[in-house]
Amino acid sequence: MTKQEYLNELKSELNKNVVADAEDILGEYEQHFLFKLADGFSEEEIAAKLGAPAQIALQFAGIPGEKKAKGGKKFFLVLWLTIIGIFEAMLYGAFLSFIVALFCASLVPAALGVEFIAGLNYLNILPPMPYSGAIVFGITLLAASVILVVFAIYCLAYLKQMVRASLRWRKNLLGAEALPLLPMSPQFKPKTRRALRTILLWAVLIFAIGFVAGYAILTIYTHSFGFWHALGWFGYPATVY
Amino acid sequence: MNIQYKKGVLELCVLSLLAKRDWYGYEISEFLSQKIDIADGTVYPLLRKLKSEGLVTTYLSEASGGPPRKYYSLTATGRETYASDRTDYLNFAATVQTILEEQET
Repeated sequence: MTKQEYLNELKSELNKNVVADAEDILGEYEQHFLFKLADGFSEEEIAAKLGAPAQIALQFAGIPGEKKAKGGKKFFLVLWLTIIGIFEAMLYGAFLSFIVALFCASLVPAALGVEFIAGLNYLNILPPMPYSGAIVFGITLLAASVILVVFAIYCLAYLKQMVRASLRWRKNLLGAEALPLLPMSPQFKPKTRRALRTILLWAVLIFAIGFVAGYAILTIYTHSFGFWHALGWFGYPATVY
Repeated sequence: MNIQYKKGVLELCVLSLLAKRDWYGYEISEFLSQKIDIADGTVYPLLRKLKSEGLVTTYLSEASGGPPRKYYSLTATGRETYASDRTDYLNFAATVQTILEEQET
């Protein structure tokens, strides 16, 4: 008997015995064939070892089927899931806007940092300071930009995983067979996670050192802890620069 | 060996396997048919019966390459049933052995 002949006969025998979930059962026997075929058995050998379809079907007879949400119950489930879905979509939309804003926000310190380092003052937005301070603050601002980008990537991964977990949960409620639920927290590959963590650590370190160093340089340069007065920022009259 | 003996204890064997870890259907069928002379197809109705009695639950797990596998896992009820059935069987088997050995000598 070939695989197809066996499955056909099993199907008709299952129907004869009014067995519940016949499709499910046939799927399991089909998988058995696939596993055995992969091990190098012929379809005839596998069918012979499985036992006669009539015998198998008899063993299934009388086992009650699995409970599934049907008819009216299913209608309310779908309605309920739709209502939750609307609120979920609003939440995801707001979160996505926040993430886009984060990415945009990361461009600001990046642009300022490049201006400081390159010694430019495009649009005349930089406060006056000596170049020794400007280059340190430039690097600090680039580090701040990196921190924002990493945070945005983390948020994006979070959003993606939330949507996936929610979809999996819905599928489980509506489908017959349950797939394992997914965690809500971001799932990075170990390599990616390590890389992100290293980048973030370095960025925070550079940001902290840069901030302190920049402050120190300008303090020494102006002989004043409130160097912004001496440099003439925020409309103060400049006394040094 | 009489087929009726095997069928009775097959259920206990399946519970015993599942008490150690979760197995997928084909794995159980392969394991048992190598040790006990039964038709490969016998295990699947048994698993379905155990599930309908609430002794085991199933979950799908994605396997690398190929369709998701249906894993079987003991429920709390399944564990209790296995523990008490196991004791019953071992006592029963010991008694039978004693009787048979007495008759021989």
